[in-house]
Amino acid sequence: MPAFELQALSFGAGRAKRTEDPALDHDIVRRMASGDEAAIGAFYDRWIDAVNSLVRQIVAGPADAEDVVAAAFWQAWKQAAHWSEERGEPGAWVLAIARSQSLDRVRVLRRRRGEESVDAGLFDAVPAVTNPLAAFDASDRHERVSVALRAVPDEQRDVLQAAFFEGLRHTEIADRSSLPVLTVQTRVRLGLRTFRDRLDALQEASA
Amino acid sequence: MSTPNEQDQAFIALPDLALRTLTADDAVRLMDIVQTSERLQRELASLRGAVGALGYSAPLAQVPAEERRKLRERLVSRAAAYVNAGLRDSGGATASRPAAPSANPGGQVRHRTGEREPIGAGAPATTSQ
Repeated sequence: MPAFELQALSFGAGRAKRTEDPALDHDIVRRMASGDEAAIGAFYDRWIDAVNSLVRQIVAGPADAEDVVAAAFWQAWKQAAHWSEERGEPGAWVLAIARSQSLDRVRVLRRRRGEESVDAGLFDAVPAVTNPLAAFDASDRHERVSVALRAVPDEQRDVLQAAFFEGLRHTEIADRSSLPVLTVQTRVRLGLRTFRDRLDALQEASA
Repeated sequence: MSTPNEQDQAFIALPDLALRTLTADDAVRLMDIVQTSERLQRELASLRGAVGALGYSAPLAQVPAEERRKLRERLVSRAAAYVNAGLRDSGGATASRPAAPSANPGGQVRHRTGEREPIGAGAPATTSQ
């Protein structure tokens, strides 16, 4: 790992907080699945800030963003019976739901403005994800991800963030940036793998 | 069954699948190949984990206390109505029976899954500006 990363990680060297108990989230989701309505309140309390932060990064209008936040938690409630540990940590699971809902909303709005052909809603299945950050609290998660992202070369990070936060396809990013599609494609793919590898390295360094 | 060459090509393209930036047709084609290879499945799971982690990179934006409280109340009350309408069994499975009669018999939303849910208990959708 490059020295600057280890230096950047020094924020965690003395306080690599593992204050979160993933088992608590598992228990809450199981309670949601069993029909305990209080559990959705507990789940909401734990994840509202992360979900809200992500949604507001993707969806521009405050009213639309609020709708999407609410819809994400409601979908989590409805799908709680289908959640299992194989589907990933509940936090990553609800963030995946929130991103999916956000991108669907953005694409609907784009279609209304005639900016995109009808192809939204094609990825209703929420992807199974693991969450390498499940054991960390919110501020540590944010900091670790930021450190890992900073290790991704600028030109890769820019297109990766366009793909993640705006759901843009390679051709759309290429149109916007006047880059060849193949260049965008390569940068997005390399960027995600670089980010993943840096994140893994950070995890190992603090283990 | 997929060929080694197809699997190698799929491996390269997995970030696009994890990021959900493929067209539906391309995603289906890629998933068909992924299903045939444990190596591809492991790599996809790992990349999806990274995509999930990217969600934490958004600048932290706290919800104002009042807005937070209102949305929480709506969600809990809607969830209670959902359970009371028989849409979720206590065992954790979604009930297949139709929703119980409500004061607003026409006020039901039919979802793509075919299930119905009451909408009179306060939808969580909010409209504050």
